[in-house]
Amino acid sequence: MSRVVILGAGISGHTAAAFARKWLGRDDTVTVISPNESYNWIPSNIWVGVGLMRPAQVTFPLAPVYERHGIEFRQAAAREIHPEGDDASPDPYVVIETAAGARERVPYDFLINATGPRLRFDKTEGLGPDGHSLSVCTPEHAVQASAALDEAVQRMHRGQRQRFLVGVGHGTCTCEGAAFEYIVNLEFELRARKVRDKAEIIWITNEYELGDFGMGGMHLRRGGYVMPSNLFTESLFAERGIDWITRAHVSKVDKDRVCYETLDGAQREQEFDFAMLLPPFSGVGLRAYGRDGEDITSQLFLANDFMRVDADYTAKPFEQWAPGDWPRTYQSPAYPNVFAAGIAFAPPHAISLPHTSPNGTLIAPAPPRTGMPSAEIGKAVARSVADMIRGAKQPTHSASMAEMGAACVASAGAHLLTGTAASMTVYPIVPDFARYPQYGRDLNQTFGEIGLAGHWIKILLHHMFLYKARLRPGWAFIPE
Amino acid sequence: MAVPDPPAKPAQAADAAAGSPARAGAPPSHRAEAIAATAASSAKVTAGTAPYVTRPTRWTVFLRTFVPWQLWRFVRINAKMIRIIRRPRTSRR
Repeated sequence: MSRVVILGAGISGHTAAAFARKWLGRDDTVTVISPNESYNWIPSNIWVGVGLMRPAQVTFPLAPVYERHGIEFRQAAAREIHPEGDDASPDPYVVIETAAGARERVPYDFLINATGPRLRFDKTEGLGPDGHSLSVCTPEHAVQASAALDEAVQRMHRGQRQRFLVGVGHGTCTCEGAAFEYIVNLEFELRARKVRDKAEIIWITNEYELGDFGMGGMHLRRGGYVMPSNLFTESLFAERGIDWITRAHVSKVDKDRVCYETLDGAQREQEFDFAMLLPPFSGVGLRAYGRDGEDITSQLFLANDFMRVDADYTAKPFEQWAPGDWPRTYQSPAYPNVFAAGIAFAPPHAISLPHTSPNGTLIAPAPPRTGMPSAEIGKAVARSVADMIRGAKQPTHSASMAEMGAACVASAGAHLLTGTAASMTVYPIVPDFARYPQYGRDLNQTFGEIGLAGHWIKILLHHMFLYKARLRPGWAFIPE
Repeated sequence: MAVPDPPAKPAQAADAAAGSPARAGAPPSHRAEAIAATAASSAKVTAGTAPYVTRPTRWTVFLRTFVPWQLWRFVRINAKMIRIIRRPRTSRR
Protein backbone atom coordinates (compact mmCIF):
# COMPACT_ATOMS: atom_id res chain seq x y z
CA MET A 1 0.00 0.00 0.00
CA SER A 2 1.33 3.43 -0.94
CA ARG A 3 0.26 6.85 0.16
CA VAL A 4 0.21 9.61 -2.45
CA VAL A 5 -0.28 13.10 -1.06
CA ILE A 6 -1.06 16.00 -3.37
CA LEU A 7 -0.73 19.55 -2.13
CA GLY A 8 -3.19 21.78 -3.96
CA ALA A 9 -6.45 21.24 -5.81
CA GLY A 10 -6.07 23.62 -8.71
CA ILE A 11 -5.90 22.60 -12.33
CA SER A 12 -2.65 20.66 -11.94
CA GLY A 13 -3.24 19.16 -8.49
CA HIS A 14 -6.81 18.14 -9.25
CA THR A 15 -5.76 16.53 -12.54
CA ALA A 16 -2.92 14.68 -10.79
CA ALA A 17 -5.29 13.46 -8.05
CA ALA A 18 -7.93 12.26 -10.50
CA PHE A 19 -5.46 10.32 -12.65
CA ALA A 20 -3.53 8.97 -9.66
CA ARG A 21 -6.76 7.59 -8.28
CA LYS A 22 -7.65 6.11 -11.66
CA TRP A 23 -4.26 4.44 -12.14
CA LEU A 24 -3.53 3.31 -8.59
CA GLY A 25 -4.91 0.26 -6.86
CA ARG A 26 -7.60 0.43 -4.21
CA ASP A 27 -5.00 -0.39 -1.55
CA ASP A 28 -3.15 2.79 -2.36
CA THR A 29 -4.43 6.06 -0.94
CA VAL A 30 -4.63 9.43 -2.63
CA THR A 31 -4.95 12.44 -0.34
CA VAL A 32 -5.52 15.99 -1.54
CA ILE A 33 -4.68 18.86 0.79
CA SER A 34 -6.02 22.26 -0.14
CA PRO A 35 -7.00 25.33 1.87
CA ASN A 36 -9.89 25.89 -0.53
CA GLU A 37 -13.09 23.92 -0.17
CA SER A 38 -14.00 24.49 -3.82
CA TYR A 39 -12.47 23.85 -7.18
CA ASN A 40 -12.22 27.02 -9.28
CA TRP A 41 -12.11 26.96 -13.07
CA ILE A 42 -9.88 30.03 -13.06
CA PRO A 43 -10.00 30.83 -16.81
CA SER A 44 -13.66 31.79 -16.45
CA ASN A 45 -13.03 34.19 -13.54
CA ILE A 46 -12.76 37.00 -16.07
CA TRP A 47 -16.46 36.57 -16.81
CA VAL A 48 -17.25 36.82 -13.11
CA GLY A 49 -15.16 39.99 -13.06
CA VAL A 50 -17.35 41.68 -15.65
CA GLY A 51 -20.60 40.46 -14.11
CA LEU A 52 -21.46 37.85 -16.74
CA MET A 53 -21.16 34.85 -14.43
CA ARG A 54 -21.71 34.12 -10.78
CA PRO A 55 -18.98 32.49 -8.67
CA ALA A 56 -21.14 29.37 -8.41
CA GLN A 57 -20.79 28.95 -12.17
CA VAL A 58 -17.00 28.69 -11.99
CA THR A 59 -16.64 26.72 -8.75
CA PHE A 60 -17.95 23.53 -7.14
CA PRO A 61 -17.29 21.86 -3.75
CA LEU A 62 -14.45 19.38 -3.88
CA ALA A 63 -15.40 17.14 -0.95
CA PRO A 64 -18.38 15.33 -2.56
CA VAL A 65 -16.45 14.73 -5.78
CA TYR A 66 -13.47 13.30 -3.93
CA GLU A 67 -15.65 11.22 -1.66
CA ARG A 68 -17.40 9.69 -4.66
CA HIS A 69 -14.06 8.73 -6.22
CA GLY A 70 -12.24 7.49 -3.14
CA ILE A 71 -9.88 10.43 -2.78
CA GLU A 72 -9.26 11.65 0.73
CA PHE A 73 -9.66 15.43 1.06
CA ARG A 74 -8.21 17.56 3.85
CA GLN A 75 -9.13 21.23 3.85
CA ALA A 76 -5.95 22.75 5.21
CA ALA A 77 -2.84 24.57 4.10
CA ALA A 78 0.46 22.71 3.79
CA ARG A 79 3.18 24.35 5.88
CA GLU A 80 6.19 22.03 6.10
CA ILE A 81 7.71 19.13 4.25
CA HIS A 82 9.78 16.62 6.19
CA PRO A 83 11.14 14.42 3.39
CA GLU A 84 13.36 12.42 5.75
CA GLY A 85 10.85 12.07 8.58
CA ASP A 86 12.22 12.89 12.01
CA ASP A 87 14.01 11.29 14.94
CA ALA A 88 11.02 9.15 15.80
CA SER A 89 10.45 7.73 12.31
CA PRO A 90 12.12 7.93 8.90
CA ASP A 91 8.73 8.09 7.16
CA PRO A 92 8.36 11.36 5.27
CA TYR A 93 5.45 13.60 6.11
CA VAL A 94 3.97 17.04 5.57
CA VAL A 95 2.64 19.32 8.27
CA ILE A 96 -0.71 20.86 7.47
CA GLU A 97 -2.65 23.59 9.23
CA THR A 98 -6.41 24.01 9.24
CA ALA A 99 -8.19 27.35 9.17
CA ALA A 100 -8.71 26.99 12.92
CA GLY A 101 -4.94 26.77 13.39
CA ALA A 102 -4.74 23.06 14.23
CA ARG A 103 -1.56 21.40 12.96
CA GLU A 104 -1.33 17.82 11.87
CA ARG A 105 1.15 15.43 10.24
CA VAL A 106 0.21 13.67 7.04
CA PRO A 107 2.62 10.88 6.07
CA TYR A 108 3.35 10.14 2.43
CA ASP A 109 5.26 7.80 0.19
CA PHE A 110 4.99 10.09 -2.81
CA LEU A 111 4.37 13.82 -2.65
CA ILE A 112 3.13 16.01 -5.50
CA ASN A 113 3.46 19.71 -4.79
CA ALA A 114 0.82 21.48 -6.87
CA THR A 115 0.22 24.38 -4.54
CA GLY A 116 0.02 26.97 -7.30
CA PRO A 117 1.09 30.54 -6.72
CA ARG A 118 1.08 32.88 -3.80
CA LEU A 119 -0.40 36.14 -5.06
CA ARG A 120 2.30 38.69 -4.23
CA PHE A 121 0.26 41.87 -4.00
CA ASP A 122 2.81 42.92 -1.38
CA LYS A 123 5.50 43.30 -4.06
CA THR A 124 3.94 46.58 -5.19
CA GLU A 125 2.80 49.18 -2.69
CA GLY A 126 -0.96 49.66 -2.82
CA LEU A 127 -1.55 46.76 -5.23
CA GLY A 128 -4.53 44.46 -4.77
CA PRO A 129 -8.00 44.35 -3.25
CA ASP A 130 -6.58 45.35 0.15
CA GLY A 131 -4.98 48.34 -1.55
CA HIS A 132 -6.27 50.39 -4.44
CA SER A 133 -6.60 47.97 -7.33
CA LEU A 134 -8.73 44.99 -8.21
CA SER A 135 -7.94 41.46 -9.32
CA VAL A 136 -9.67 38.46 -10.89
CA CYS A 137 -7.30 35.82 -9.51
CA THR A 138 -9.95 34.30 -7.25
CA PRO A 139 -13.76 34.24 -7.47
CA GLU A 140 -13.93 36.60 -4.47
CA HIS A 141 -11.61 39.07 -6.17
CA ALA A 142 -13.61 38.79 -9.37
CA VAL A 143 -16.86 39.56 -7.52
CA GLN A 144 -15.25 42.72 -6.11
CA ALA A 145 -14.11 43.71 -9.60
CA SER A 146 -17.61 43.17 -10.92
CA ALA A 147 -19.13 45.33 -8.17
CA ALA A 148 -16.60 48.09 -8.83
CA LEU A 149 -17.42 47.90 -12.53
CA ASP A 150 -21.14 48.28 -11.77
CA GLU A 151 -20.39 51.41 -9.73
CA ALA A 152 -18.25 52.84 -12.52
CA VAL A 153 -21.01 52.17 -15.04
CA GLN A 154 -23.50 53.97 -12.81
CA ARG A 155 -21.20 56.99 -12.70
CA MET A 156 -20.95 56.89 -16.48
CA HIS A 157 -24.72 56.74 -16.77
CA ARG A 158 -24.74 59.94 -14.70
CA GLY A 159 -22.48 61.51 -17.32
CA GLN A 160 -19.07 61.14 -15.69
CA ARG A 161 -16.11 59.93 -17.75
CA GLN A 162 -14.19 57.00 -16.28
CA ARG A 163 -10.64 55.84 -16.91
CA PHE A 164 -10.06 52.08 -16.73
CA LEU A 165 -6.54 50.75 -16.25
CA VAL A 166 -6.03 47.01 -16.77
CA GLY A 167 -2.90 44.90 -16.92
CA VAL A 168 -0.15 43.74 -14.61
CA GLY A 169 0.96 45.35 -11.37
CA HIS A 170 4.67 44.56 -11.40
CA GLY A 171 7.56 44.25 -13.84
CA THR A 172 7.91 40.50 -13.33
CA CYS A 173 4.27 39.43 -13.54
CA THR A 174 2.99 36.54 -15.60
CA CYS A 175 -0.57 35.78 -16.78
CA GLU A 176 -0.73 38.73 -19.18
CA GLY A 177 -3.18 36.60 -21.16
CA ALA A 178 -5.75 36.66 -18.35
CA ALA A 179 -5.47 40.43 -18.01
CA PHE A 180 -5.76 40.71 -21.79
CA GLU A 181 -8.99 38.72 -21.71
CA TYR A 182 -10.31 40.93 -18.96
CA ILE A 183 -9.63 44.20 -20.77
CA VAL A 184 -11.27 43.16 -24.04
CA ASN A 185 -14.25 41.72 -22.16
CA LEU A 186 -14.48 44.93 -20.16
CA GLU A 187 -14.52 46.96 -23.37
CA PHE A 188 -17.20 44.69 -24.84
CA GLU A 189 -19.28 44.93 -21.68
CA LEU A 190 -19.06 48.74 -21.60
CA ARG A 191 -20.36 48.78 -25.17
CA ALA A 192 -23.14 46.38 -24.19
CA ARG A 193 -24.09 48.69 -21.31
CA LYS A 194 -24.02 51.65 -23.71
CA VAL A 195 -21.44 53.69 -21.84
CA ARG A 196 -18.39 53.07 -24.02
CA ASP A 197 -18.29 56.72 -25.10
CA LYS A 198 -17.69 57.71 -21.48
CA ALA A 199 -14.75 55.37 -20.97
CA GLU A 200 -11.06 55.62 -21.58
CA ILE A 201 -9.44 52.18 -21.41
CA ILE A 202 -5.71 51.70 -20.96
CA TRP A 203 -3.63 48.53 -20.97
CA ILE A 204 -0.44 48.53 -18.90
CA THR A 205 2.00 45.67 -19.27
CA ASN A 206 5.54 44.52 -18.61
CA GLU A 207 5.71 42.99 -22.08
CA TYR A 208 8.31 44.45 -24.44
CA GLU A 209 5.76 44.28 -27.24
CA LEU A 210 2.04 43.62 -27.12
CA GLY A 211 1.23 39.97 -27.76
CA ASP A 212 4.35 38.67 -25.99
CA PHE A 213 2.26 36.97 -23.25
CA GLY A 214 5.42 35.86 -21.46
CA MET A 215 6.31 33.35 -24.16
CA GLY A 216 8.26 35.61 -26.45
CA GLY A 217 5.21 36.23 -28.63
CA MET A 218 4.66 34.02 -31.63
CA HIS A 219 4.68 34.17 -35.40
CA LEU A 220 1.73 33.35 -37.58
CA ARG A 221 1.25 32.85 -41.29
CA ARG A 222 -1.31 35.31 -42.60
CA GLY A 223 -1.98 36.81 -46.01
CA GLY A 224 1.26 35.62 -47.54
CA TYR A 225 3.39 36.89 -44.66
CA VAL A 226 4.76 35.51 -41.44
CA MET A 227 3.66 38.08 -38.89
CA PRO A 228 4.58 38.61 -35.24
CA SER A 229 1.74 38.44 -32.73
CA ASN A 230 2.15 42.08 -31.68
CA LEU A 231 0.54 43.12 -34.99
CA PHE A 232 -2.61 41.23 -34.12
CA THR A 233 -2.75 42.41 -30.53
CA GLU A 234 -2.16 46.04 -31.50
CA SER A 235 -4.81 45.72 -34.17
CA LEU A 236 -7.25 44.29 -31.67
CA PHE A 237 -6.63 47.13 -29.22
CA ALA A 238 -6.66 49.87 -31.86
CA GLU A 239 -9.91 48.56 -33.28
CA ARG A 240 -11.48 48.75 -29.83
CA GLY A 241 -10.00 52.12 -28.92
CA ILE A 242 -7.85 50.66 -26.13
CA ASP A 243 -4.64 52.60 -25.42
CA TRP A 244 -1.54 50.80 -24.23
CA ILE A 245 1.57 51.23 -22.15
CA THR A 246 4.26 48.58 -22.68
CA ARG A 247 7.62 47.86 -21.00
CA ALA A 248 6.27 49.11 -17.67
CA HIS A 249 7.00 48.16 -14.08
CA VAL A 250 4.27 49.39 -11.76
CA SER A 251 6.00 50.49 -8.57
CA LYS A 252 3.13 51.97 -6.60
CA VAL A 253 -0.65 52.07 -6.73
CA ASP A 254 -2.34 55.05 -5.12
CA LYS A 255 -6.03 55.70 -4.74
CA ASP A 256 -6.36 57.27 -8.17
CA ARG A 257 -3.06 56.69 -9.97
CA VAL A 258 -0.23 54.25 -10.53
CA CYS A 259 3.44 55.14 -10.56
CA TYR A 260 5.40 53.16 -13.06
CA GLU A 261 8.86 52.94 -14.52
CA THR A 262 9.44 52.25 -18.17
CA LEU A 263 12.38 50.48 -19.70
CA ASP A 264 14.06 53.78 -20.54
CA GLY A 265 14.25 54.45 -16.80
CA ALA A 266 11.63 57.22 -16.81
CA GLN A 267 9.27 57.40 -13.83
CA ARG A 268 5.72 58.14 -14.89
CA GLU A 269 2.20 58.22 -13.54
CA GLN A 270 -1.15 57.16 -14.91
CA GLU A 271 -4.42 58.22 -13.36
CA PHE A 272 -7.36 55.84 -13.14
CA ASP A 273 -10.85 55.48 -11.76
CA PHE A 274 -10.85 51.67 -11.96
CA ALA A 275 -7.73 49.51 -11.97
CA MET A 276 -7.58 45.73 -12.41
CA LEU A 277 -3.91 44.79 -12.10
CA LEU A 278 -2.71 41.23 -11.67
CA PRO A 279 -0.01 40.56 -9.07
CA PRO A 280 3.32 38.79 -9.50
CA PHE A 281 3.52 35.21 -8.28
CA SER A 282 5.85 33.28 -6.03
CA GLY A 283 5.67 29.84 -4.46
CA VAL A 284 3.43 29.52 -1.42
CA GLY A 285 6.33 29.52 1.04
CA LEU A 286 6.52 25.88 2.15
CA ARG A 287 9.43 25.12 4.46
CA ALA A 288 11.41 21.88 4.42
CA TYR A 289 13.22 20.24 7.32
CA GLY A 290 15.69 17.40 7.52
CA ARG A 291 15.66 14.45 9.87
CA ASP A 292 17.44 16.40 12.60
CA GLY A 293 15.16 19.36 12.19
CA GLU A 294 17.62 21.47 10.19
CA ASP A 295 16.15 23.81 7.60
CA ILE A 296 16.67 22.31 4.14
CA THR A 297 14.25 24.58 2.32
CA SER A 298 16.95 25.72 -0.09
CA GLN A 299 17.50 22.12 -1.19
CA LEU A 300 13.90 21.80 -2.30
CA PHE A 301 13.01 25.35 -3.30
CA LEU A 302 14.53 28.32 -5.09
CA ALA A 303 14.57 31.75 -3.49
CA ASN A 304 11.21 32.56 -5.12
CA ASP A 305 9.70 29.58 -3.23
CA PHE A 306 9.04 27.60 -6.39
CA MET A 307 10.18 23.97 -6.18
CA ARG A 308 13.42 22.78 -7.74
CA VAL A 309 12.81 20.01 -10.23
CA ASP A 310 14.83 18.37 -12.99
CA ALA A 311 15.51 21.65 -14.81
CA ASP A 312 18.87 23.25 -15.51
CA TYR A 313 18.97 26.22 -13.14
CA THR A 314 22.46 27.32 -14.12
CA ALA A 315 22.45 31.08 -14.62
CA LYS A 316 23.27 31.82 -18.24
CA PRO A 317 22.67 34.55 -20.79
CA PHE A 318 19.62 34.57 -23.04
CA GLU A 319 21.66 33.41 -26.05
CA GLN A 320 22.48 30.17 -24.24
CA TRP A 321 18.98 29.32 -23.12
CA ALA A 322 17.95 25.98 -24.57
CA PRO A 323 14.83 23.81 -24.62
CA GLY A 324 16.81 21.22 -22.65
CA ASP A 325 16.88 23.61 -19.69
CA TRP A 326 13.20 22.94 -19.13
CA PRO A 327 12.13 20.13 -16.79
CA ARG A 328 10.79 16.88 -18.18
CA THR A 329 9.72 14.72 -15.24
CA TYR A 330 9.21 17.40 -12.54
CA GLN A 331 10.97 15.19 -10.00
CA SER A 332 12.89 16.83 -7.16
CA PRO A 333 16.62 16.21 -7.63
CA ALA A 334 16.99 15.97 -3.84
CA TYR A 335 14.17 13.54 -3.09
CA PRO A 336 13.00 11.15 -5.83
CA ASN A 337 9.58 10.67 -4.24
CA VAL A 338 8.81 14.40 -4.40
CA PHE A 339 7.43 16.09 -7.53
CA ALA A 340 6.13 19.55 -8.40
CA ALA A 341 3.41 20.22 -10.95
CA GLY A 342 1.80 23.31 -12.47
CA ILE A 343 2.83 26.74 -11.26
CA ALA A 344 4.58 25.22 -8.21
CA PHE A 345 7.64 24.07 -10.18
CA ALA A 346 10.45 26.54 -10.66
CA PRO A 347 11.03 27.36 -14.32
CA PRO A 348 14.71 27.52 -15.26
CA HIS A 349 14.36 31.02 -16.68
CA ALA A 350 11.94 33.19 -18.57
CA ILE A 351 10.89 32.49 -22.15
CA SER A 352 10.76 36.13 -23.27
CA LEU A 353 13.97 38.11 -23.55
CA PRO A 354 14.36 39.83 -20.17
CA HIS A 355 15.07 43.56 -20.02
CA THR A 356 16.43 45.77 -17.28
CA SER A 357 15.95 49.52 -17.02
CA PRO A 358 18.92 51.86 -16.48
CA ASN A 359 17.85 51.92 -12.81
CA GLY A 360 18.35 48.16 -12.58
CA THR A 361 14.64 47.33 -12.55
CA LEU A 362 13.85 44.00 -14.17
CA ILE A 363 10.96 44.38 -16.56
CA ALA A 364 10.29 40.95 -17.97
CA PRO A 365 7.22 38.74 -18.06
CA ALA A 366 7.59 35.46 -16.19
CA PRO A 367 6.80 32.33 -18.21
CA PRO A 368 3.16 31.22 -18.19
CA ARG A 369 2.49 27.67 -17.00
CA THR A 370 -1.21 27.65 -16.42
CA GLY A 371 -4.12 25.89 -18.10
CA MET A 372 -3.32 23.16 -20.56
CA PRO A 373 0.41 22.76 -19.72
CA SER A 374 -0.44 22.72 -16.02
CA ALA A 375 -2.91 19.88 -16.45
CA GLU A 376 -0.57 17.98 -18.78
CA ILE A 377 2.22 18.17 -16.22
CA GLY A 378 -0.12 16.98 -13.45
CA LYS A 379 -1.16 14.01 -15.58
CA ALA A 380 2.42 13.05 -16.51
CA VAL A 381 3.53 13.25 -12.88
CA ALA A 382 0.58 11.10 -11.76
CA ARG A 383 1.52 8.52 -14.41
CA SER A 384 5.14 8.44 -13.26
CA VAL A 385 4.14 8.13 -9.61
CA ALA A 386 1.75 5.28 -10.38
CA ASP A 387 4.48 3.47 -12.32
CA MET A 388 7.05 4.04 -9.57
CA ILE A 389 4.64 2.59 -7.04
CA ARG A 390 4.44 -0.47 -9.26
CA GLY A 391 8.21 -0.79 -9.26
CA ALA A 392 9.67 1.61 -11.82
CA LYS A 393 13.00 2.98 -10.61
CA GLN A 394 12.55 6.44 -12.08
CA PRO A 395 9.81 8.62 -13.57
CA THR A 396 8.36 6.98 -16.65
CA HIS A 397 6.63 9.95 -18.25
CA SER A 398 7.71 13.42 -19.22
CA ALA A 399 5.88 16.60 -20.20
CA SER A 400 8.41 19.23 -21.14
CA MET A 401 7.03 22.61 -22.10
CA ALA A 402 9.70 22.63 -24.80
CA GLU A 403 8.11 19.56 -26.39
CA MET A 404 4.49 20.38 -25.72
CA GLY A 405 2.02 22.45 -27.70
CA ALA A 406 -0.83 24.41 -26.24
CA ALA A 407 -4.24 25.50 -27.42
CA CYS A 408 -5.69 28.66 -25.94
CA VAL A 409 -8.90 30.57 -26.46
CA ALA A 410 -8.88 34.14 -25.19
CA SER A 411 -12.33 35.62 -24.88
CA ALA A 412 -12.75 39.05 -26.43
CA GLY A 413 -16.44 39.56 -25.72
CA ALA A 414 -19.13 37.20 -24.50
CA HIS A 415 -22.29 37.04 -26.60
CA LEU A 416 -23.69 34.11 -28.54
CA LEU A 417 -23.99 36.08 -31.79
CA THR A 418 -21.78 39.16 -31.41
CA GLY A 419 -19.05 37.90 -29.09
CA THR A 420 -15.57 37.02 -30.28
CA ALA A 421 -12.49 35.23 -29.01
CA ALA A 422 -8.95 34.80 -30.17
CA SER A 423 -8.25 31.12 -30.80
CA MET A 424 -4.59 30.19 -30.75
CA THR A 425 -2.42 27.14 -30.91
CA VAL A 426 1.30 27.20 -30.39
CA TYR A 427 3.89 24.47 -30.77
CA PRO A 428 6.10 24.17 -28.84
CA ILE A 429 5.39 26.48 -25.92
CA VAL A 430 9.09 27.09 -25.31
CA PRO A 431 10.64 28.03 -28.66
CA ASP A 432 13.12 25.53 -30.02
CA PHE A 433 15.46 27.26 -32.45
CA ALA A 434 17.40 24.06 -33.08
CA ARG A 435 14.35 22.35 -34.56
CA TYR A 436 12.69 25.47 -35.97
CA PRO A 437 15.60 27.81 -36.72
CA GLN A 438 13.76 30.83 -38.04
CA TYR A 439 10.92 31.36 -35.59
CA GLY A 440 11.50 28.74 -32.90
CA ARG A 441 8.10 27.18 -33.50
CA ASP A 442 6.31 25.00 -36.02
CA LEU A 443 4.32 27.46 -38.14
CA ASN A 444 2.08 24.66 -39.37
CA GLN A 445 0.83 24.22 -35.83
CA THR A 446 1.04 27.77 -34.59
CA PHE A 447 -1.95 29.83 -35.63
CA GLY A 448 -4.38 32.38 -34.36
CA GLU A 449 -7.61 33.98 -35.47
CA ILE A 450 -10.36 36.00 -33.93
CA GLY A 451 -14.05 35.46 -34.39
CA LEU A 452 -17.37 34.32 -33.04
CA ALA A 453 -16.36 30.67 -33.47
CA GLY A 454 -13.68 31.23 -30.83
CA HIS A 455 -16.34 32.40 -28.39
CA TRP A 456 -18.41 29.29 -29.04
CA ILE A 457 -15.31 27.18 -28.39
CA LYS A 458 -14.62 29.13 -25.19
CA ILE A 459 -18.14 28.40 -23.93
CA LEU A 460 -17.79 24.76 -24.94
CA LEU A 461 -14.47 24.49 -23.09
CA HIS A 462 -15.91 26.13 -19.98
CA HIS A 463 -18.63 23.48 -19.68
CA MET A 464 -16.46 20.61 -20.87
CA PHE A 465 -13.62 21.27 -18.42
CA LEU A 466 -15.99 21.78 -15.49
CA TYR A 467 -17.64 18.48 -16.42
CA LYS A 468 -14.24 16.83 -16.49
CA ALA A 469 -13.20 18.43 -13.19
CA ARG A 470 -16.37 17.11 -11.56
CA LEU A 471 -15.12 13.66 -12.64
CA ARG A 472 -18.43 12.84 -14.28
CA PRO A 473 -18.72 9.69 -16.45
CA GLY A 474 -16.17 9.64 -19.24
CA TRP A 475 -14.12 12.49 -17.73
CA ALA A 476 -10.82 10.81 -18.57
CA PHE A 477 -11.62 10.92 -22.31
CA ILE A 478 -11.77 14.72 -22.29
CA PRO A 479 -8.30 16.04 -23.11
CA GLU A 480 -6.46 18.33 -20.72
CA MET B 1 10.78 62.68 -10.59
CA ALA B 2 7.51 61.32 -11.81
CA VAL B 3 6.27 62.62 -15.13
CA PRO B 4 2.48 62.58 -15.09
CA ASP B 5 0.58 61.95 -18.25
CA PRO B 6 -1.04 65.15 -19.38
CA PRO B 7 -4.82 65.31 -19.24
CA ALA B 8 -6.20 64.08 -22.50
CA LYS B 9 -7.32 66.75 -24.89
CA PRO B 10 -11.06 66.52 -25.42
CA ALA B 11 -10.71 65.49 -29.03
CA GLN B 12 -8.01 63.00 -28.17
CA ALA B 13 -10.03 61.50 -25.34
CA ALA B 14 -13.07 61.19 -27.52
CA ASP B 15 -10.88 59.66 -30.19
CA ALA B 16 -9.68 57.03 -27.77
CA ALA B 17 -13.19 56.19 -26.73
CA ALA B 18 -14.65 56.04 -30.18
CA GLY B 19 -14.53 53.09 -32.52
CA SER B 20 -12.08 52.84 -35.39
CA PRO B 21 -14.41 54.20 -38.07
CA ALA B 22 -14.50 57.58 -36.31
CA ARG B 23 -10.74 57.60 -35.96
CA ALA B 24 -10.23 56.68 -39.55
CA GLY B 25 -12.10 59.81 -40.47
CA ALA B 26 -10.05 62.11 -38.24
CA PRO B 27 -8.35 64.99 -40.04
CA PRO B 28 -4.63 64.37 -40.68
CA SER B 29 -3.60 67.51 -38.80
CA HIS B 30 -5.37 66.32 -35.67
CA ARG B 31 -3.73 62.91 -35.94
CA ALA B 32 -0.26 64.40 -36.35
CA GLU B 33 -0.76 66.73 -33.40
CA ALA B 34 -1.99 63.94 -31.18
CA ILE B 35 0.86 61.64 -32.20
CA ALA B 36 3.42 64.32 -31.38
CA ALA B 37 1.79 65.08 -28.02
CA THR B 38 1.68 61.42 -27.08
CA ALA B 39 5.26 60.72 -28.10
CA ALA B 40 6.64 63.72 -26.25
CA SER B 41 5.08 63.23 -22.86
CA SER B 42 3.93 59.71 -22.24
CA ALA B 43 4.75 56.05 -22.66
CA LYS B 44 1.11 55.52 -23.55
CA VAL B 45 0.22 54.72 -27.13
CA THR B 46 -3.15 56.20 -27.94
CA ALA B 47 -5.03 53.69 -30.03
CA GLY B 48 -6.79 56.32 -32.08
CA THR B 49 -3.58 57.91 -33.23
CA ALA B 50 -1.13 55.01 -33.33
CA PRO B 51 0.30 55.54 -36.80
CA TYR B 52 1.57 52.10 -37.80
CA VAL B 53 -1.03 49.78 -36.37
CA THR B 54 -2.57 47.08 -38.56
CA ARG B 55 -6.32 47.42 -38.71
CA PRO B 56 -8.85 44.95 -40.06
CA THR B 57 -10.86 45.72 -43.17
CA ARG B 58 -14.63 46.06 -42.89
CA TRP B 59 -14.96 42.71 -44.66
CA THR B 60 -12.76 41.01 -42.06
CA VAL B 61 -14.74 42.55 -39.23
CA PHE B 62 -17.98 41.44 -40.88
CA LEU B 63 -16.77 37.87 -41.26
CA ARG B 64 -15.84 37.66 -37.59
CA THR B 65 -19.47 37.52 -36.58
CA PHE B 66 -21.05 36.23 -39.82
CA VAL B 67 -22.63 33.05 -38.54
CA PRO B 68 -22.36 30.79 -41.66
CA TRP B 69 -18.66 31.63 -42.01
CA GLN B 70 -18.09 31.21 -38.29
CA LEU B 71 -19.76 27.79 -38.31
CA TRP B 72 -17.13 26.74 -40.86
CA ARG B 73 -14.38 28.35 -38.76
CA PHE B 74 -15.70 26.53 -35.69
CA VAL B 75 -15.08 23.23 -37.47
CA ARG B 76 -11.66 24.32 -38.79
CA ILE B 77 -10.39 25.74 -35.49
CA ASN B 78 -11.54 22.66 -33.61
CA ALA B 79 -9.72 20.50 -36.13
CA LYS B 80 -6.53 22.52 -35.66
CA MET B 81 -6.82 22.31 -31.88
CA ILE B 82 -7.48 18.58 -31.96
CA ARG B 83 -4.29 18.24 -34.01
CA ILE B 84 -2.34 19.95 -31.24
CA ILE B 85 -4.16 18.01 -28.52
CA ARG B 86 -3.62 14.63 -30.19
CA ARG B 87 0.07 15.33 -30.77
CA PRO B 88 1.96 13.46 -28.03
CA ARG B 89 2.56 15.94 -25.24
CA THR B 90 3.67 13.51 -22.63
CA SER B 91 6.19 10.92 -23.60
CA ARG B 92 7.16 7.63 -22.12
CA ARG B 93 10.80 7.67 -21.07
